[in-house]
Amino acid sequence: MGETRSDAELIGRASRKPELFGVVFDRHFATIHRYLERRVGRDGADELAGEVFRIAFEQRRRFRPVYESALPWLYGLATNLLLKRWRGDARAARALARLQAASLNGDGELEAAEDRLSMAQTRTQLLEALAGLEPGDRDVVVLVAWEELTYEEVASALDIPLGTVRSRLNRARRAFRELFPDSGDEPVTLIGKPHERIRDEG
Amino acid sequence: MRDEIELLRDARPRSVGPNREVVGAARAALLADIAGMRRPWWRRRRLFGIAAPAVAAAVAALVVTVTLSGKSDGQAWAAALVRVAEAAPRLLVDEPGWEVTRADEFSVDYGEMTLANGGQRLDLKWLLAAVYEDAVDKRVAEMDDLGTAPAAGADARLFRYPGTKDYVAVWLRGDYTVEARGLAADADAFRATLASLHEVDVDTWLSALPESVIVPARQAEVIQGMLAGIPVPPGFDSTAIRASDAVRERYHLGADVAGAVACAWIERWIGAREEGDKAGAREAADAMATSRTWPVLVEMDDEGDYPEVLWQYAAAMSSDGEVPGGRPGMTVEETYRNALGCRRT
Repeated sequence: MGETRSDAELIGRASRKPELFGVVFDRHFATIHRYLERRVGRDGADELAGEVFRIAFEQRRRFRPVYESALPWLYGLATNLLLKRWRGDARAARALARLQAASLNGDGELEAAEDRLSMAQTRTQLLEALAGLEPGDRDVVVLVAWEELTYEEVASALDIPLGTVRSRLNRARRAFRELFPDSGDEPVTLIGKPHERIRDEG
Repeated sequence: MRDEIELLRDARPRSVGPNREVVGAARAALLADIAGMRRPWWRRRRLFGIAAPAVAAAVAALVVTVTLSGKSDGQAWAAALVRVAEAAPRLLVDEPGWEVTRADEFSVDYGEMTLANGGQRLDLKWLLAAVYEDAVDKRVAEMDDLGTAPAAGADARLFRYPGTKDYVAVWLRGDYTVEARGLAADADAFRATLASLHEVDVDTWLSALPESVIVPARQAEVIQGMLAGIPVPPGFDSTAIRASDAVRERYHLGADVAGAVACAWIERWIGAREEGDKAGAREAADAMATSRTWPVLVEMDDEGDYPEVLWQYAAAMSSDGEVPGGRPGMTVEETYRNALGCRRT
């Protein structure tokens, strides 16, 4: 029964029947774990992912179902937990360093050795730049670029205005552009919904 | 040249995902929490909407206050609140500068509050004693075990989240499992804070609650104050705003008050549109359009997202009925009850 209900409905009903929250866990635990794994490595994700759902259960009455899916809300809780636990912590830097050393996400396509080397270097530079961003800017970039949330979903997840999402992305983009100055020759684009590009008014 | 964010998308680190043991442990911990939170206050609150005779009795009980024996100035507290205070651990930090900064929900079975002193903060939680062993086992499995430490006359088990300065102490006190959690420079600093925790009498504890806490006896008065400056639809019954026998924070009570008014306007708007009553729909939309200046929402805006969600619905009512910021095609009619916490009428 619970499998066919939306997250919003399950969380609403969980006030009277708390075990329904288990369905929300089953649906989204792996996604949130993967998000955390990309941010702080697998050990960190193992440590934190379960806590995200326990916090979500405790705070379920604060859930506002602007979206039927609870994922934006869960991403927000996970991000807040990361900030609380990892900000200013040497573990975060070590985790990101491990990510830099991880293999390319090439999905089986065999590139020439030179191309692979170049891609690996670019990737390392990008991840270094990402690690150097302000935490709030980094959260927005990661949620848009890696988790493919819409701007609106990011705003909802982080409880910030839509304009702040845009300004943080633009600030991050400027930082990246210092690494890749050629990109300034092209029209600046913003990534909105997955695979949708919106021309920046600026 | 490709967009920088798009390049970063391609650089997304590969993730393996959780193994079966991690999923199982996390699920078990969640279910243990669910099992340990028996009879939370919001479940009791929901009962008020079910049985009318019970509502009358419960509301009557809320306004009964008692004067604590031996109290010279006749300070009156809600009877239900005194019952909580008499049963629950009444812990304060016995050091200058510490005060209760948050106590957003508590009942006899479960409660949370935050004590703070400048940048220092200690989160206290009490649950039923039955969850103590699970709570300890879970922390033994997940955290650094730092042995024991004295806390409010008990020997607390002390833990630290690995690699952090985030400490947790868990102990038994009568019928309760008590948890204290906070950041500290090191274990000794956290032990010192724990050692300063002491239990106080009922009146001292109640007097230490922050002003943002609304005790049941004051709810009706506060609700009336929150309604000031808000246009309400004809026939709106403010006494129907859900009451609670638990302590509430202003934010949550404000959401109930603003939500009750918004729900009433939305229902009028839906009804008017169904009947082709354009003037009625316009009246409701115009009333909701004033919500940007409702004092209670302005006050709440810095603390959470409830005002923003309500304003999205107000905007939708003034346009085509599609909620801005939601998924495409998300309408007011479909979603307002869940989004704003409206009760079915």
